[in-house]
Amino acid sequence: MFVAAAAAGAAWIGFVGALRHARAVNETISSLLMFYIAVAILNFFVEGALRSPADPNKPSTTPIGSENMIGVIPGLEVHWGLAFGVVLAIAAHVLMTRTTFGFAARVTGGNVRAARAQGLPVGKLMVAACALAGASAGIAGFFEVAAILGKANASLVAGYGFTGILVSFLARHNPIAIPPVAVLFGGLAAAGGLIQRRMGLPDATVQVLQGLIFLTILLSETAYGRIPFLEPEGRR
Amino acid sequence: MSEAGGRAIGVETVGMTKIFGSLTALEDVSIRVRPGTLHALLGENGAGKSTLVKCMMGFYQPTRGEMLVDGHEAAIRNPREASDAKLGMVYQHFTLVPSLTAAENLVVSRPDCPAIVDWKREIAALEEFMARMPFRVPLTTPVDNLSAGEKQKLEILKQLYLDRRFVVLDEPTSVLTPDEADEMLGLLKGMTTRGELTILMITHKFREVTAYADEVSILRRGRYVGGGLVGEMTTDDMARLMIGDTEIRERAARLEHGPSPVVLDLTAVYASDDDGLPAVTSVDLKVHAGEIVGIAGVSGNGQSELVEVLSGQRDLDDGRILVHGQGFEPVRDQMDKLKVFSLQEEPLRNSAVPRMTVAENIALRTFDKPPITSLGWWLSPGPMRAKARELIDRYRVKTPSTEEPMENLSGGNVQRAVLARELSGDVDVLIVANPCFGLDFASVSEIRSQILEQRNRGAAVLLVSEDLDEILELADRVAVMSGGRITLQAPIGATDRNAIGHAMAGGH
Amino acid sequence: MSDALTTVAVAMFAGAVRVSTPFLFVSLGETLTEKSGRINLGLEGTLVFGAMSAYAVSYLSGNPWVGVLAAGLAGSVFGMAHGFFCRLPKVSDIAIGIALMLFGSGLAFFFGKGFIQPTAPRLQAIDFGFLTSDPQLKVALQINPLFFIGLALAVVMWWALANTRFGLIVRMTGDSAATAKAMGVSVDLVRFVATTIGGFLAGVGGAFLSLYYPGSWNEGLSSGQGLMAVALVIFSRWNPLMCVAAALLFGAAGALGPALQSVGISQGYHFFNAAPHILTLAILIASSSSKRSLEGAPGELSITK
Repeated sequence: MFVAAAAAGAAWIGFVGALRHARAVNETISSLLMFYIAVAILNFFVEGALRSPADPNKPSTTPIGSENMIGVIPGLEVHWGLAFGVVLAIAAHVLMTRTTFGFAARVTGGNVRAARAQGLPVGKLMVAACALAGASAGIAGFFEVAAILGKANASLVAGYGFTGILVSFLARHNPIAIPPVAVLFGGLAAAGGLIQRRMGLPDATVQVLQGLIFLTILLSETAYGRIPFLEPEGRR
Repeated sequence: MSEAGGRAIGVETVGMTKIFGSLTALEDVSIRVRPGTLHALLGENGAGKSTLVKCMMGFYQPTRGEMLVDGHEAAIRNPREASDAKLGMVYQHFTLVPSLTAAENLVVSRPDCPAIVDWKREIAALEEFMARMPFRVPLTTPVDNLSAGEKQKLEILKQLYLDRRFVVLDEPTSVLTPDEADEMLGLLKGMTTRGELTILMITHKFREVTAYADEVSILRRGRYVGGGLVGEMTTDDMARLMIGDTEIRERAARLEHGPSPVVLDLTAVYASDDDGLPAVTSVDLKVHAGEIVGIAGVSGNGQSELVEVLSGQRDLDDGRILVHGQGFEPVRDQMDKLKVFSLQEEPLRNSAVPRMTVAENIALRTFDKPPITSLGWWLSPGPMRAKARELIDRYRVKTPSTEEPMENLSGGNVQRAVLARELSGDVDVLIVANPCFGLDFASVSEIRSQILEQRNRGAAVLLVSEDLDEILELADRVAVMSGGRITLQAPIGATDRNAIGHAMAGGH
Repeated sequence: MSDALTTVAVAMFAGAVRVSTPFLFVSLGETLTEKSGRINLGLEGTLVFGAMSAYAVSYLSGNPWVGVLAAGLAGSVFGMAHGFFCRLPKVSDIAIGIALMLFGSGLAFFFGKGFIQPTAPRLQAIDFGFLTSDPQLKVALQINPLFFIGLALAVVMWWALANTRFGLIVRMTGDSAATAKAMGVSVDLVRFVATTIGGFLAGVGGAFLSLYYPGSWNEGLSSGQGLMAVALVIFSRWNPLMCVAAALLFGAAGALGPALQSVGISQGYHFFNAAPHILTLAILIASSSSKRSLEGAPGELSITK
């Protein structure tokens, strides 16, 4: 299941990278379109072939069964996904700063003309980087199903992907800074229900807040110098 | 225009000074451009020429100093006020809108452009205007499809259409063939002599100054260092004033090699430009060991596409590239094995990653090899920095540290860092394109001597340059590109400026 | 079988006209914005917020056309925000677009919570049913006036880009900002105005969604129409007249799912719903190339660089 999730994610976004390389299709637009297509496929399976008869109100797949679920970290009320995420963040950091692949990917991202002039396999690097990113998003989906929901349904489409973009921007694309920022935003999202109950505000408040934060971050780029401790390695 | 006599206006600057932060770009410059003259403004890159004219045109506000237009004090606070005073400028980079036609470009540039354009009437008026001009261009073609010469003419026509009486031309001939340049300067000179126009021409070509200018003013390091009537000065005088007593690195002596083998061999090379149109057509070229082959030509004739093909930035449509007799594809392991290196124009755009550090940029060639890499994938920053420090010292790159982002370095230092990366190893083939574009005099002579040193060591050097003087100085053989084809190939001693100029215009 | 085919064809024609209207408005707005050299990916959010404001104002005022106007004005505010933010140095228009997309939809859901239940007065269609006796066609010929306004707008925009000072200045700004600057044109102002108008049109497109078809307000109202319109502009090569054709094509694709369902084919319904997205992607792939730049693209556009 884990492997399937990672592979599907890798293929999905790897395709976006391949389009970018082979046909110069803008990755922002194509990945957003791929999002809608993915949701349509999800709905197709959830309401069709894989629909569980046991759940008449909200179409869902048959549960994977509690013996297949991922448990919580002993002593905490948090599932193993968090620990895995931290490990993944460290691995991503090492990958980007301490391996030839990461170096070559940074050159390609920084100046594709220079990368070509160095004879780097630009297309492969782009597709590989996109596939890795897609895989890690796929793993996120895996933990949602295997540790929280226990089945797949429309509540998977909760904007985690968009929030993820936001988190990455706030972390200034530094993997090490991702986990704390992600926890912060997770907390914010979880507070949505609370806001609704306590203050009588719609739960879309969270989305509005996220939008505002995103705007603020983008605009702070112009107003301030860079925040030193969030700087990528080697630029301090 | 028949009643044109006396239209030209004169402009004077008095004590013009411009300070940017801690940098004094212009210091107390007073020049006088008399009405109806063609006045040359000479100076090296960074001498303050463009700062001076931008102050005159209202783009910058001078820190101190005044301007006199037609003898009266005039405050030019923005480009619009310059336009109201009938002052205009033709920039080095075209300021025409590519997707608009010539007619649309002219009409939209008019301050009184009507809210709704009656094209029938406008075209008739434009045709009547063109008929009065010394040169003309097609009106309804998008500017994109005009040749560089036509664009340059349209730029100047625009100034006349807007009734400007004093026009600054920034290196107006850099995109023209020598013949086109002579034609255009001759016509402009005629207009100034007839009193229709005053021209201030920024240039670094002494030949144009002596042949066409009436007077010259020379700037160095932001100061006025001399000038006067062109007839009373020699080229040597001007050069000395312009360059000053900067100490220059000794130029490497040219070693004479005997007959040597072909190293780089291009056969029937074809490539397309960004619009999919043929840019390089059937290029055959051989470069021997220990030889510099210079490719001359006006920019936009396929040279940059050829360089991009050789450096892997553009696909080869058809043809064959051999290095040492083996098929060469510009991918990393072949570049390493066959020792192919390149030094491209605009290094920040072509050869460096602006946001990565100097050390990382210097390691672009070697990051995947020992000692920086072990086990084939593990990268160690220590050896990377050590190597960078060594090369920074050897090539005198001015940078605060190895960890400075490349984009913070000056143009000359970026080019030196790239030079350090590409030339510090063992070089068999070197592809060079306009290596000195926009650099100061000291960097230029240093970079040229480095290229010559590689030749003397036995490298095959392909030098693409829009600066004919650079080619005449460095190359052993010259090839001229025009319209994507090679129109002339000859040893440097067997040809001259005229023949090359003729070939640049497409003659065979 | 041929009956079913006719039904599907008529339904797709009706759907093309119906579904294309929001595409048309958003893509015309985006054409103007992109002609000025900016790309606004936030139009999806603008569309959703426009839909919400139109519905709310129509409900509160009782007049759907006031709702349309309100949607346009709300859209302009988003356009203004985009135009203003992007003039700041180091700010990417694409990233700001995504941020505004999230923000616009969030804000619409926030304020729109209370308007999901009530029924607002809807826009009335013009009935061209007298042209035919076929009952199916009669229904298909109920066409909303906004569709015709969109058509007229396309022609006006096409004419204005070539024949007015404003049009020439917008094209100049989008193709070469340096030239515009040298001519004393305020590049930021031109783009601000173009983005604001673009926002207005996207808002009106949203009004069509909530006040005519589907004709109600809920959080799942838009399925990326605002975003697809951006791709549609590339496909139309920045030509307003082509936008009409492209919008109709996309509308027909969008109508495929419901049309098939109406004749009882519901297998793969979700795939047919994704047809416009798949079509958009396919067209993007077909019309782009890594070897040549996009023909007719404004030179300053970040997406083509």
